[in-house]
Amino acid sequence: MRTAQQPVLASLLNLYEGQRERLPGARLPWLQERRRAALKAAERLGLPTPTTEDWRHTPLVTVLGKHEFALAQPVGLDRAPSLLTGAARLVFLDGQGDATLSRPALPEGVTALSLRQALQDDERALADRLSVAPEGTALEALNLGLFQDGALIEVDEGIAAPPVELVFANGLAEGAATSHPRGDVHLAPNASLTLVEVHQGLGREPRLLNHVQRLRLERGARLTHLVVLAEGTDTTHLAETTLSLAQDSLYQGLVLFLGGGLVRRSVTLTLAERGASCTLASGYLLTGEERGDLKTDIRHAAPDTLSRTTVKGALNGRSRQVVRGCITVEAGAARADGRLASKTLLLSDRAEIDAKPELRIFHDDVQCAHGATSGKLDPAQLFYLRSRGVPEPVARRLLIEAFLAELTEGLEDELRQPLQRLIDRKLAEVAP
Amino acid sequence: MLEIKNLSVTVDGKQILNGLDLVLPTGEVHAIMGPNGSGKSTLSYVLAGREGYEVTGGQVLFEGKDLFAMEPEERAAKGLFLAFQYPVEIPGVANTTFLREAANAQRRARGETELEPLAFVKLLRQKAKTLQMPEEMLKRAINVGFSGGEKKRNEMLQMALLEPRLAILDETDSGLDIDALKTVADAVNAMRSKERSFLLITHYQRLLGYIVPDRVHILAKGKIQRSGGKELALELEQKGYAGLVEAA
Repeated sequence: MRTAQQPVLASLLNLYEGQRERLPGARLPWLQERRRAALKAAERLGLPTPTTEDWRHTPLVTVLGKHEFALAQPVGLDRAPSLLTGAARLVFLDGQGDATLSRPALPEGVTALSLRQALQDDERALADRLSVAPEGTALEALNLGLFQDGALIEVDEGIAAPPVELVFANGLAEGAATSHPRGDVHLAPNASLTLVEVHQGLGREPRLLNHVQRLRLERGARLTHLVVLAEGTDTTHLAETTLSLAQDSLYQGLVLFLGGGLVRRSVTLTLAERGASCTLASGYLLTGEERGDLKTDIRHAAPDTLSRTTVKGALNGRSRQVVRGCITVEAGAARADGRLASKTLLLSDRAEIDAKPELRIFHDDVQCAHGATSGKLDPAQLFYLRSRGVPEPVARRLLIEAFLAELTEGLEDELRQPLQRLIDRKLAEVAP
Repeated sequence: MLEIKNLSVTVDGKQILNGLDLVLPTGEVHAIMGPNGSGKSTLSYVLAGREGYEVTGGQVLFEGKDLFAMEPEERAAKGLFLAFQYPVEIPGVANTTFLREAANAQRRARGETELEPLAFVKLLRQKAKTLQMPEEMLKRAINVGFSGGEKKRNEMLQMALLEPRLAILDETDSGLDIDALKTVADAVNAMRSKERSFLLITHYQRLLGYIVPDRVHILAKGKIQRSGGKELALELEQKGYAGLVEAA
C-alpha cells in the first residue's frame, strides 16, 4: 500500500469517512460505491512522486506534506472576484457552490448548474459523468472520492450560448483545507460557448485544490475557454482536464498562470474526428517562489486535424515554469498538422524554466513542429526605447507586454480588456 | 552644447576611440566623416549611453553637465537624440504607443505636463505628414516590416516629435534613395535653429550636399584627424580618406 510511504495520501483518504454524510449524493448507493472504489484506486495508484516521469520537476508530496488538510467547509463572501460583468456565472467559495453570488439564469438550451444541485435534480443523468477514466490517476480518483461540488454546463444543438463564467474564490476560511471540484462541459452539435474560469486566491490559508474537468465538443461545436489562475502563495492547485473534439469542432483555450505556490494543469486533448482543431495558448507571469506547471498531451486521432500550442512565460524572482508538451499523431491521421512553441523570458538569474516538447508520430503524411526557447529581454530593444526617454522599468514592461500580447490578440474586446487588466496588475508585480 | 575632451573608449577590450576632442557649439551643424572602422558608430552609441562601451579616459559635457553620469533616458530627457544607423525592430509595440510613452516620459522628466491623447495624435499626424509617412505606419509595430528608407523616416519622425536640443544622425543617409535622402535633409533643415545642434555622422559626402554643415571633422583611428569648413568634405571627395589622413 502506498499510504505507508505517503502519509499525505493516507490523511486525504481518511477525510472521506468523517465527512461522508455531508457529501453530495450521500443518499445514493451507486455514488457511495463509486466514491469508495475511487478512493481504493487512489490508494493503489499513489500520489505522483519525482520518479513519476511527468512529475519529475514537481515535488507534490513534499509540498503537500507541510500541512494537515481538512475538507473545505462552506463560507460566505460579499462579492465574487468576477471577470465579466453581467454574464451568467456559478460562484464557488473554497470549492462550494454559493447560490447567493451565482447567477445561473440562461436562455433556453443552455444549462449551468452546480453539481450538488444537479445531483438533487436528476441523479441518473449524471451516472456516466461521475466516474474515473480507466487510465485515470490517483488525483482523479481522489477527486471523485472527495468531490463536494462542481459545475455542469450543457449547450444544446445549434445554440450559440452567451458567455458563462465560473468563479472559484479560494483561501477564505481559516486553516489548511482541500477541495476537489469537478467540471463537466458538453457542447451538442454546432453549439458554441465562451467559458471563463477565474481561480482567485483571496487569503493566505494553505489550500489543496484538486480539479477534474471533462469537456466534450460534438460535431461543429465551438468552445472558447479562458482560464485565469491567480492562486495564493500557499496554494497547490492541480487540474486534470480532458477534452474530446468531434468532427469539425474547434476549441480555443487560453490559460494564464498569474500566481500560486504550485499550480499544475494537465490537459489531455483528443482530436477524435476529421477536421477537429484546437489552439491552446498559455501565458505565465510569475515571481517570488511561484511555480506553474503545464502538461499538454494532444492526440491527433483523425485525418485533417490541426493543433497549435503556444506557451509564453515571463519569470522573475525564483519562480519556476515547467512545460511538458506532447503531440501524438496516430496511424491514419493523414494531413495532421500539429505545432508547439514555447518561449520564456527570464527576468531574473534565479528564475527557471524546464521545457520538454515531444512529438510522437505514427503517420507519414503529416506536418509537425515544436520548439522551446528561453532568454532575457533583448538589450538592443531596451536601449532603443530608453534612448528615446522611456525609463527603464517602463521599457521593460512595454517589451514584456509586447511579448505576451500574442496570447490575447484574437479575443474580443469584452474578454480581452478585463484579462489585460489582470495581466497589467500582475506585470506591475513581476516587472516593478 | 557638446564638448568632448580627450575621449577614449574600448569595446571588448579593444581600443576604438583614442583621445577624441570635439566642440559642437549651440546652433551649429557639424559633420563627422570617416572610413569604416574609424569609430564613428562607437562615438554615437557612447554618447547615447549604450551598454558595452567602456570609457577609459576623457570627459563629455552636454550643456555643461557630465554626460556619462546620466542614464540613456535622462540624456534623452535633457535633449539628446540619436538617429540610429540600424533602427531596432520591436514586434508587439505600436509606433504610436512608443512615441507617446517617449514624448510624455521626457515631458515628465522635465517637469512639463503630459500631452493629452488627442493632442498627441494630432501632433503626431501632422509631423508624419511633413515626412510623407502614411498614417498606417504609425499604427504598426516599431520598425517591423519597414523598408530601410521607412526606418530612417521613422527616426526622423521621432526627432521631429521629440524636438531634441542635440540630434546625432548616425549614417542616416546610408542605404537611402535620392527621394528618401531629400526627406531626411528637409527634416533636418526644417529643424535647424539657433538653439539646436546637429552632429551628422556619415561615410559619404552626398548628404552634405543637402545639409550644409558649419564644420566638417575627419575621424580616423579613433580621433579627429582634421577639421575644417564645408569645403573639407569636397576635398575628401577628391583625395579619399587615405590621402587626407596620411596628409594629416
